[in-house]
Amino acid sequence: MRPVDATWTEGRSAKRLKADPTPGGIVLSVDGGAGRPFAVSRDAEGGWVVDGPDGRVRAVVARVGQRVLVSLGGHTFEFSEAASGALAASAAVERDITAPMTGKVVDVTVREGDVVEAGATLVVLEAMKMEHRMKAVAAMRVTSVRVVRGAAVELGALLVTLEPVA
Amino acid sequence: MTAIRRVLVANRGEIARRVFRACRMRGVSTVAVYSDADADSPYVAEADMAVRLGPADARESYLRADLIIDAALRSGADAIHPGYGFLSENAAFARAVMDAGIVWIGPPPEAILAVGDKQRARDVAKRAGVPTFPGHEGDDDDASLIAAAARIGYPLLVKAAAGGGGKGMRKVGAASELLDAIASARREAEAAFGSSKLILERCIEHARHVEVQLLGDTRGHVVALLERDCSLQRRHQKVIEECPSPSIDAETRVRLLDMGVRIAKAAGYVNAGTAEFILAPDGALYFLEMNTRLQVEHPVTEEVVGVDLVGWQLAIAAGEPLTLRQEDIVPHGHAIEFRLYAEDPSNGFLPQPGRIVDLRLPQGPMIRVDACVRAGMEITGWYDPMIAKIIVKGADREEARRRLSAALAETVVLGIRTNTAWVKSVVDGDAFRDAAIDTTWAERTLSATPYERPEPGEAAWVALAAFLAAGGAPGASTGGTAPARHPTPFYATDGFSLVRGGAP
Repeated sequence: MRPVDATWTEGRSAKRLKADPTPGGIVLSVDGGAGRPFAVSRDAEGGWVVDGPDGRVRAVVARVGQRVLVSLGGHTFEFSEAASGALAASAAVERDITAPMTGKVVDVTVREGDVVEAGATLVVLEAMKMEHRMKAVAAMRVTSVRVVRGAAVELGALLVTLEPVA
Repeated sequence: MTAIRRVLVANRGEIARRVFRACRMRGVSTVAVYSDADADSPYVAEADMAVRLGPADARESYLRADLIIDAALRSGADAIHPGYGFLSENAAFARAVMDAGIVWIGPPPEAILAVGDKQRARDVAKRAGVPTFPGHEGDDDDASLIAAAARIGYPLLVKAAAGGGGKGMRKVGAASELLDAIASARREAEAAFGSSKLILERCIEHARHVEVQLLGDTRGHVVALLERDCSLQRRHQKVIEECPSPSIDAETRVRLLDMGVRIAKAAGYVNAGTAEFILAPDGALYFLEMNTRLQVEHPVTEEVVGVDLVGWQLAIAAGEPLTLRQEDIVPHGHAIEFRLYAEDPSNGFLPQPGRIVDLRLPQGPMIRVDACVRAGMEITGWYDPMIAKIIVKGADREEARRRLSAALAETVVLGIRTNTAWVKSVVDGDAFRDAAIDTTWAERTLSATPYERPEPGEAAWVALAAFLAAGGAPGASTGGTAPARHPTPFYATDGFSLVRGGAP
């Protein structure tokens, strides 16, 4: 066990976790609150068993890249360590249409310079035999098209860039 | 009678494993086929022999009838089981298999042609005196479809004539959306079934989906193995199926099963098939289509009726008589199946390809898991996003529902998002408890209140802190690279001790 002092986020939640090692566990303080003792152990399948004042927590936990995944009760939480002072989401991303999944471009329905209406289809992706239509959320002008029909794209790949219509 | 000694399964994943099990029961050896994307999949290793078909794209592997028949001939297989999807309802493939001197474990090509195509199925239903509902079947050029749509009215469904499983299907709410839906359904249908032929159907509001499991032998004996209710769907893809249906009474059940048997007999149907019906709010039943194959959701029938459907498929294909009698087929308890999909309910149910870094599937009495997945495995974007089927049983529906809820709470898939938590919220809710879910319930509910990922509670933060304190800080370990074929603590990469309370 080793000390922890960091702020982690999940969705809209953020908490500062301060944990100090004890024999067989930790004393945990959340958001500067009083420290509470927890015994930490593992179950037969490698799951985490944490016994504290309010009872037992059982979870399956793994690190994937920069995230820590915590699964309990059928849901998986996806925690990320907060970069200092950078909690606010960027507001500029709506101009960049990116692939929400890895897949194939089955159609590109706009060209650079086109002005599209809200709801217009820009690019059609296919993954696992399902089509997903990438649409404009507002009336926008297409400033660039970065993919062609038939292209394989990774999750997060830039497909189309837009700018507001003046 | 035709002896079957070696079966090639022209499919992948959990259904290949399901067929292999039935083969082993009968002392029949097994052959797997695989694409490059599936070379390391568990089902390939489980078969007695395995033959590579080709690249990951199904059009170059699982849809290549010539390669599959060649694989059967080279491996000495004397029968082919098609599973579901891919070529399972392709009459030309069935014919080619038989022409190659190989036993086809499924209905004869004539029966597939008679009912596999939705428009022909309607004709058969009419001959059998079974009601169908308004639709258009025939010329499917854009102009014909536009004219037919105007006659049928909106909302309507654009569907693949050769389809199933929601592929190539679009709901159209207004005439302005029709052409877009037609183009997109054509593409999906072509990719999924090798045929872009489309039909139109009236969309009945608040309908429930009930279907009759049928078995017929080569002597003309047909039985109905009760019905299934598949009303929880999203994007026309079934998510939960149960047997028996909670939405029909005994009198309706007799009527429904009889309709199924009449259609099967009118079509000269042999082997396993499913007649799908729409149950309207006023109690009217409309024949929808016949699936000329084993269904994904066949396990709920197996659990409640106490039969091995795939075993019967093999027996019937070998020419054995179907010894089940209709009067002996009675429900024993209630079974519910949950399809675990790699998809994100909080983001439009988009597929979630990726690596599964850890995995726990539920266990215990009256819980059956049909899956082909292991920790460390990559879920590719090439095929269907279903990664497991979890089937629970109970003495009655409520017991099965509670068991399913507990099983869902036990289910862990780390690394990719799944529909587990969303389905658990549905199963725990009043609508499902009261069996009040119709086929568009999920769509309506989600459009009113989109699914949002829950905020972490105290327990999740505590577990995170324990993990971090034990060395799980950034850079300390690399989740997902462990050789997690058998997920045990011995592969844990955080150096934590197995001994309770023992720090390293």
